[in-house]
Amino acid sequence: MKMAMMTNTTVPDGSMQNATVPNSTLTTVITGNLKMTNTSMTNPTVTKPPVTKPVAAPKAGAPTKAKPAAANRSANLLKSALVVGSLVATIMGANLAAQKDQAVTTLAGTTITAGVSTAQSGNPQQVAVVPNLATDSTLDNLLNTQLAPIPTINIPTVVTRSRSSR
Amino acid sequence: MAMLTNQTTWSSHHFYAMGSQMTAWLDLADQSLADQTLRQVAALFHAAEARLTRFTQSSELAQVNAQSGQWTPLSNVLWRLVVRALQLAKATDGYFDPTILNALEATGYDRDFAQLIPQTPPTNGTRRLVAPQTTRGCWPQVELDPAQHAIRLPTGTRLDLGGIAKGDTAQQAVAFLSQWGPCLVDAGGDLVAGDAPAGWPGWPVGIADPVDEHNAGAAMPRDLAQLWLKNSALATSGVDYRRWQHNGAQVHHLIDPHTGTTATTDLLTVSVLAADAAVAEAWAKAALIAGAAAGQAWLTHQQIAAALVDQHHQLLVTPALQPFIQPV
Repeated sequence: MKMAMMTNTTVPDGSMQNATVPNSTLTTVITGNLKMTNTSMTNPTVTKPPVTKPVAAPKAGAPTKAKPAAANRSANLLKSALVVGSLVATIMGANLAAQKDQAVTTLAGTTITAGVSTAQSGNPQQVAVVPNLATDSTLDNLLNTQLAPIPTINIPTVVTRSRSSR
Repeated sequence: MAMLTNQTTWSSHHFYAMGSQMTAWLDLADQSLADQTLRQVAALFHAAEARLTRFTQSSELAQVNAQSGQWTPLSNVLWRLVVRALQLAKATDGYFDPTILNALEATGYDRDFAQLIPQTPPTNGTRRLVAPQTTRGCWPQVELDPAQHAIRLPTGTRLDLGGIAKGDTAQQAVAFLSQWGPCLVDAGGDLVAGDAPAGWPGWPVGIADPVDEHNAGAAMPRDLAQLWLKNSALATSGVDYRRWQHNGAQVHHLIDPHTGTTATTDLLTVSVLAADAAVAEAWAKAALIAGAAAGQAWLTHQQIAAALVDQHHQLLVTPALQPFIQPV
C-alpha cells in the first residue's frame, strides 16, 4: 500500500544536526542474586581424582651403599627442592583450575557473576558465565547509541505513533 | 539544506500478532517485492508468538512454565530472551520482572486481551482464577545453566515475557527488512525504525496522548510530541488501554512486582527512546510503576531519553529526550 503523498512541506533554512544521547552513567552491573550455575542437569558433580605419580620400586637385589655426608646433603637439598617445586606446581595447578572454572562475562557492559557452591571444601569459588548475546548488544550501548537526528525540519504528518499496547 | 521529498515509496502491511495490531513499512521502489517481504515479517511475528505466548499450552514458554522447580532446556531464542529479561530485572531494581505471571493471571488476565474484554467483569465467581503460589516478582531466585541453556524456575513461578518478546521480535523484523531498505515496524505501539526513508531525516512518528475517559471518544488521536525516528526504538508502556473490571474493581495489566498487585501509579504512559525495543520497553514499564516523581528522577539520573505523561496529560520530558522531540 502506498503512503499518502506529502506535499506543501515547509523546510526552514538550516542544516540538519546529528545528535547523540549523552553518554550514560548508567551502570548495569549484575552481581549476586542472579543464580547462574554451570552444574550439569544430568551429570552429577564429578570430583577429579588426585593426581598421583608412579613411584619407581627399588630394584630387587640392588646393592645398598652407605652414603657419604656430602652426598646426603646433596640429596636433602634435592629433596627439599623437589618438595618446594611440588608445592609450587600444586598451587599453580590449583590456580589454573580455578581460572578455568572462573569466568566473568561482560555482556555489553553488563557483568554478571555468580557464585556456585563447590562440592569440595576449600576450592576457590567458581563463577559461571553468561554467554555473550552479541558483541555490541550491551544494555549500556542499547540505551546510548546514536539515535535519531535532531531535525530542524518540521514533521509534516506522522506515519504512526507510539502508545501503550493495542 | 535538507529537503523532504514529496514522493514516497513506502509500502506497508497491517497484521495482527501477539495480541496487538501491527504495521510494517518498507521503503522500496519495487512494490511487489516490498509487499512480499512485508508479509514475511508477519510470518516472523507469528512464529515468535507460537513459541513465546503464554496463552497456548503448546508454546515453548508455557511448557517451561509448566515445569517450574526442575531444570528445563531452552531454545536459543527463549534463552536469549530470558537472559535479557533477567538482566533488565536487575538493572531496574526489579520494577521490571518477568516472573509475575501468577499475579497477572490473578487479576483475570489469563487469555488474549481480545477475548478478555467481552467476558468481564466476572464477579460471580464462576470464572476460574489461578490460585498463585507466588505472586510477587522473584527473579533473583531463577537459576540458569549457561552450559546447557537451561532454566530452573522456583516451584510455582511462571514467566511472562510479554512486552520484551514483542519488542525483541520487532527488532528482528527491522533487521530482516533492513536487508531490502529503510523500514519501520509498529508492534502495537512499540516502534522500531531502521534507516531513514530516502530524502527524509527519519521516520516521522508521534508520542500519543493517552486515552482516558476524557478523550476516549475523540475522532482523531492526538500527539503530545513528535520526532524523527531512525535506527532506534520508541516503546511506550501505559495503563490507559488494557484495563478491565475484576471483582468489582478496575484493574490494568501492569503488575508491581514488589506487591504482586496491579500497580498504583500517577502516570498514564511512559515512552522510552533507546537503541533496542526490549530495553526501551522494560525501562518504560519500570518507570511507569515507579510513578511520576521517582520515575522521572530515575530516568533523568540514568540519562535515559523518556517522555512521561501524568494523569493530567502533562508531558514530562527527561533532558536526554529534549533534543529529539518537537512539540505539537
